[in-house]
Amino acid sequence: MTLETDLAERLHDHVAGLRRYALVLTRNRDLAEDLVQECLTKAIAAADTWKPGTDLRVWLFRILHNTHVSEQRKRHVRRTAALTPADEAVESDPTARVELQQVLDALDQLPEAQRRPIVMVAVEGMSYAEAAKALDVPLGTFYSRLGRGREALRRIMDGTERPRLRLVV
Amino acid sequence: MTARPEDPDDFTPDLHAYLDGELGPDAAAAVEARLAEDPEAAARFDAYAQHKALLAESVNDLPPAATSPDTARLEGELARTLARRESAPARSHPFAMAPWPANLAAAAALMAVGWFGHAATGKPDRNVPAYVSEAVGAHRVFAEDFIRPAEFDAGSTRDVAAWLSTKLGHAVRIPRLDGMGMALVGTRIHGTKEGPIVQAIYENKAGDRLSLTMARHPDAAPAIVFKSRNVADTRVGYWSQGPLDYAVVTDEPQEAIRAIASELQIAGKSRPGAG
Repeated sequence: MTLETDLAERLHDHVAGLRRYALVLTRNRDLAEDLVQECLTKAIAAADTWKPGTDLRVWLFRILHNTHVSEQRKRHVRRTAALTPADEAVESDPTARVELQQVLDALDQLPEAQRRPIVMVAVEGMSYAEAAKALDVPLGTFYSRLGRGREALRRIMDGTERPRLRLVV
Repeated sequence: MTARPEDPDDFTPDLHAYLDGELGPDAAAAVEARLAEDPEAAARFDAYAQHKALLAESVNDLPPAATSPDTARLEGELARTLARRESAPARSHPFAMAPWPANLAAAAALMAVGWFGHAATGKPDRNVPAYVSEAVGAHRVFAEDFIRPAEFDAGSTRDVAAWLSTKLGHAVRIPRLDGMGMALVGTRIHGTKEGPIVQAIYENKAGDRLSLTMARHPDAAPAIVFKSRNVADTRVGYWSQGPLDYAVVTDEPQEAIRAIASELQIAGKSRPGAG
């Protein structure tokens, strides 16, 4: 395998990862694809800042993340038409579909700063060190946001699933 | 992991780290022991694990985007561009000689201790004033940062100019470089052994970043005439002007740095004081 083919294949995997991440965060197919395209455009312009031999995925996610921030400012992203899990994907288990929907809806209620670490770790399987770099926050901040976000998610899901069992502040 | 947030339940951070495979064997065993005897913690852990699994699964179930030829084209172009960089000579980039992992490690260390210092550039360069080494370090750690390069964005920089001036001990004006195609991204202030320095970060349309660092010129020290040096493989131009020392760090060639310095010197003479 040549160096170039290897790089193209890695990049292809990373672009798929960028798309997954953008899709879960935006729940809007077109917006997610726009973000990926703008990220790639920025990456081409900023190719000089990538140091060969370093983590291409972290570099790309940093650009995507930056794109996401500026896109939000520009467009005031609307969530009016949030995607829902596809019918056919979970039709074998109707409760699974409800749970997926609930967890995505709960995620939507969290602040952006907490949603990102949660999705990076869950969807992309990044290590804390990688994800903190990709999000450009100190490890302690990353940790704190992940923990607070997951706890908030749990409380929202608790309320969704068993509203009469407990009152959690 | 040293930087833990305050948490009413000190055990909670370990639950997440355990769930994500971030703990060593001893710490993981401690979590398992605690989970075995603490049903409330075990219930929370199960919930975190379940939600993590659901989110991972949700990706497969959200309807995927239709394959876009534009995305494929951009991906191909980026692959070719990066491949050229990978095969380019090592000195093609001013930072190429600086091992990036060391940079990242330095940045991570700075994040962990929350302090900026010579760690960013290794040993201070004795051939340049200390503030110039600090300026290069600040540029390498923050100006290359895509997401949060600045403490104060361009809009709020105007509001904090007076505060920056107080910190620096002299009126400081954050100049506009729009005429040179460089827009202000924002500013930061750093504490250094030599006193506070203000870093203003600019960006052109291509995303190239430039740092302008300002420090108080030591009272007894002679004025510095414009000089251009390589510090830690990074090009920096520096000079003093009245009570302030300046440093410009950029990937641009020496002539461009000199042009920026001239521009700033002229601007400084025609519009003294804070602004």
